[in-house]
Amino acid sequence: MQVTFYGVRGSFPVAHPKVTKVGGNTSCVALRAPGAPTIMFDGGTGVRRCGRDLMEEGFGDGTGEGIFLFSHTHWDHIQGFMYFEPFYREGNQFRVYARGSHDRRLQQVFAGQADSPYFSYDLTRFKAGVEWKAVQEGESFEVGPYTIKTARLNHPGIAVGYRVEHQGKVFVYMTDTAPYEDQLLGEGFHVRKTEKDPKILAELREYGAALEEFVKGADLLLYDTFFTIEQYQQNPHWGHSTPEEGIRLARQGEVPRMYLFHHHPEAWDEDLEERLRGYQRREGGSDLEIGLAREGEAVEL
Amino acid sequence: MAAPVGATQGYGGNTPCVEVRGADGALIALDAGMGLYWLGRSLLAGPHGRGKGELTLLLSHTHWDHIQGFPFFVPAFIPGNRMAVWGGGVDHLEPILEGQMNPTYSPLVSLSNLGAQVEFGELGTHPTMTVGGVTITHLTYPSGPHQIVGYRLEEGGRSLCYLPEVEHPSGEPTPALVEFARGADILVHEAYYTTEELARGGLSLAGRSGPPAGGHTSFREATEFGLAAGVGKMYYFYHHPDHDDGTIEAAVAAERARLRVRGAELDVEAAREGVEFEV
Repeated sequence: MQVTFYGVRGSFPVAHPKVTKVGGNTSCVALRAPGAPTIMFDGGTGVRRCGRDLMEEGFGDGTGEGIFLFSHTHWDHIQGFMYFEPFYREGNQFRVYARGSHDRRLQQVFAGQADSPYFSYDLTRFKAGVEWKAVQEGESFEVGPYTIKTARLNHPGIAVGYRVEHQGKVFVYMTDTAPYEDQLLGEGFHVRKTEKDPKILAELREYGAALEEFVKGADLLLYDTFFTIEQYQQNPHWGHSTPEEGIRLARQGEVPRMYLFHHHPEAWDEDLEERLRGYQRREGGSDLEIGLAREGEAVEL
Repeated sequence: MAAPVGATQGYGGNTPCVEVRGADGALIALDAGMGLYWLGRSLLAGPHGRGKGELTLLLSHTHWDHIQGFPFFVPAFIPGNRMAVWGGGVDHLEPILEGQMNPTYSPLVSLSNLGAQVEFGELGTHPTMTVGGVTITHLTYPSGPHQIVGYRLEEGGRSLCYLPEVEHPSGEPTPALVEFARGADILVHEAYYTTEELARGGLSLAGRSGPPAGGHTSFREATEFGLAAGVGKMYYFYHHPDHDDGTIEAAVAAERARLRVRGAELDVEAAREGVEFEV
């Protein structure tokens, strides 16, 4: 399997001279495996270039088969969706999975952001076949040759983490999430607080343990490292995590590779590269390779 | 859409936002694209960082690329700051920005969770308004299937006209818009396509197979519009995400050459992020 980073930035697309090396496009990661459908994780602005690449890979002649796995539908994860060129080529087939209770409602969520008054894209103009699939966190399913598992992530409105297994290789896509530590994030608006209710603290432990189990034996963990520790302490209610937590999770699950992902809009190229070297020096080793998701780069599993 | 790629760094890849300061410091922002985040960041050292700031936000319309910076405007989260939001090409702006905060799309859930005081005005009942010493008039016009609001700001006999998205369906400068922009010292006018791209029916954001994007104009049409309106200086604006710095430079050079041949005095330039000028 090959994992390619098309968008690695969190919150919003960043066009700034200090992010040109790591990249400013919002979340989109592609997983390719020979003879299997291509999987796209999220559809931030990075999905546009992903679509262009795929037009050279079978999607251009209408024989492509793709799967979208959305962590959630906050705008930075879906804002490139309507610009994905393979949707406009007849013959291509897609299955789109995102958290929800009804398939039909899911389609409305994507159509609603694309059309008036917010834009002028009518998703009924897609020429490819698109099947919408609402998933609930905790569900497992098979798509083509892939076995896919989901987990609840700690994010306002709740996000979903994906574990994809194929021919003995395992990739885990885990964004957006806070550590299951200070507060349990769910529906509604969250303000900063440190949880003291024993019942909720027990839930936090339970969800945290479930994530440790979820990543176990993965070949690569791509993890939300939006914050530094100091930033996290200021904003535990934003639903984002730190490299330290990613490293802890990877070690718990005996995961040999963990990549920093979903970078803060103002994490400049230099900052990220310097932090990466620091983590590699202090925490990395023969049992854990720590990497940085950079736009346009690929990792072989 | 925002274009965060290296090849656009000279002119910038953020979606529309223009900061205007009146002589007394009154702050007006034209559109709330991703540029608004960077404006908000630059304001934090001043009164907006202490909850004593004000902003008048004038929206041309509510397509995402013109409002996507709004939820990331940091001063909006600081209690005490006050924002007045106008425009949008629709009768009721508030439900649309409230919809932007909907929990399906945003962790903010509702406008009521912003710390600052945000008020929405109805342009229909305010043909003319003033912010500090700046007088603001507007014109609502169709661009493709959408309604866009253009703005004209005047102070001390100087004027700036903002037409961020424009279509001239006949290929000739649209008369009502020419009248609106007439004699402006500065005109900000879109130039989304090159002449060749417009002749081919546009350049879809979803590639060659994608749906065509109507409601736009070209560098050449923009120049003709600036000449017809007799403006002092024109900034080509709303650069296409696939136009790299070289494409924009070549298009501007071609327009300047055409103007020279005709002996026209119109000064033209491509709008570039971070550039400040006196009107």
